[in-house]
Amino acid sequence: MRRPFAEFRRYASSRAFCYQLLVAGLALALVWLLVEQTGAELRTRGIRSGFAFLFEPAGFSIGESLLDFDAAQPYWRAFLVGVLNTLRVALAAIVLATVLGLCLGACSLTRNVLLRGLCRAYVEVFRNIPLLLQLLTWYFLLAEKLPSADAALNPLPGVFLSKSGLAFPWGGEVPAAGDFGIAGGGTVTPEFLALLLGLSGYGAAYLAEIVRAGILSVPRGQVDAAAALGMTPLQGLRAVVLPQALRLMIPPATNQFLNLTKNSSLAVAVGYPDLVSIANTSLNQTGQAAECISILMAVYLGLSLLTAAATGWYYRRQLRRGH
Amino acid sequence: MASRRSALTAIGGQFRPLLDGWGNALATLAILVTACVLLPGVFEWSMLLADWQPDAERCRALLGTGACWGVIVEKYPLILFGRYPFDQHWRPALACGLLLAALWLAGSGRLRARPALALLSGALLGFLALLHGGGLGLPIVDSQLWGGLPLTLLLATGGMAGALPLGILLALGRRSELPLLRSCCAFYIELVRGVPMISVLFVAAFLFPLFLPDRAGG
Repeated sequence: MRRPFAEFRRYASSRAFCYQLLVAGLALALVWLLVEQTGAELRTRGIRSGFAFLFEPAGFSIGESLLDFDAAQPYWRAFLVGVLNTLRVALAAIVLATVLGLCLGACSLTRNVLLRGLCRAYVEVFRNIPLLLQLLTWYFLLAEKLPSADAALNPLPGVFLSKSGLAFPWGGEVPAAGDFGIAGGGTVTPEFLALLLGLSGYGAAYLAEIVRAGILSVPRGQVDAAAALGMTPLQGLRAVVLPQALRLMIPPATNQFLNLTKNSSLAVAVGYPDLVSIANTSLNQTGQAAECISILMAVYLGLSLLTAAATGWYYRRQLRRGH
Repeated sequence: MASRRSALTAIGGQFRPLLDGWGNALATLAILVTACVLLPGVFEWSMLLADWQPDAERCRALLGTGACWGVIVEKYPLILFGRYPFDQHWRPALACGLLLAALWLAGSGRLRARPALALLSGALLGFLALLHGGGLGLPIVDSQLWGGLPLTLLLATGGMAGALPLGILLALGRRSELPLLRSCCAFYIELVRGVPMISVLFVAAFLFPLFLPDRAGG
């Protein structure tokens, strides 16, 4: 009997080589075409290219920044301010979302029907409303519904909440109400606060589901075994269930942290000067879209790969400890 | 007597998960108290003090105390269908209904794969035809005037329909034995997954006009 694929197999390796050559050729041709076309279009429009603009004065000021920044400083420093602002809000939101998500996930597994229902309702509501809408709602609440700075809410001693943002004790200094609003201590703007609350409220809903799934995926027999050894439910949770659940929760939680960092790019909707907002302003001023967008993509890609590497390292360590 | 007691125990048993143990009872109490404090205010704002008439004067008087649902009553066509010509609103409404029905039918598991696929493609084409018009005496409506719910549904359905086959191809490509194909797929996957959606939209908004040769009228 003839083997229909024998012929094919003999040529398989050379065929594979040809296919790859074809793919590579197509990819290169596409890239060449795009570069050529863009270059020609840029020349006809009189837009220059290259990254030299990074060393010219930016000419715009930035609302909030961890570094000193003014309009005379170069573009690269503006981008740096944007990166730091993105990192600041993303890290704070990751911490807040993790804490809230753990609580919500644990609460959605209690026997208490009311508490469980409340947590389930939170998860469903916050997961199913677009993040952009949530950000706009938080910003509206913070910027419109709060009292102005001279009548700031004072929920805790030293903590003031008003339209100008949140003031809190920081660096040994306690903010106090003066004639011109609140002075001293640390402050965050309403834009930062809206973004932080939106991102962490949204992220917490997803993390709660990850926590719930992680705990539920530990076999029931493990809980019974812990009880048979005389452990209280809390001891069993700490020593038997959580170590196993944590290992299962790390990969999806990593994904969620990456998503949260990328979602912080919606900051541009509430006017928080994150990297996207800075890149957008620079792009509009210089017209160098390709350069600004490639910086933007490179930074987010770097952050994503870095986070993936860090949690991958932690995951492998957890796996080793488990054996 | 015995049956009544067992009924009472059964009712009492319903509440046990809410009340056994201090922490549990405390949580229940805290939730109930919070609900009693918050809910009357919400009810008052949204129902008792709210106004249902589209009347700007009365709404201004209610500002901060009651809801003004009249805005929704008056503006819901704009919210749902955007700038689509008012007298043609039945078209996007019918198109949305058809697409949702097709999606529901295809997802319900009653159809096999091929009929479901045919149904969905037909529904999408019908949706576009209905929105665009041009035949059967329907005036043409330019896609610049499309908006609201139909656009959301169209983009979501079209996006999913395009993403699934492309995703399967990329997944297969990444498992391929051809190293070059594999690395191309891996590069695409990691690049697109690692950058935020908004930067991809920036590429579409700012770079596509540069990629494409002479734009019409540009």
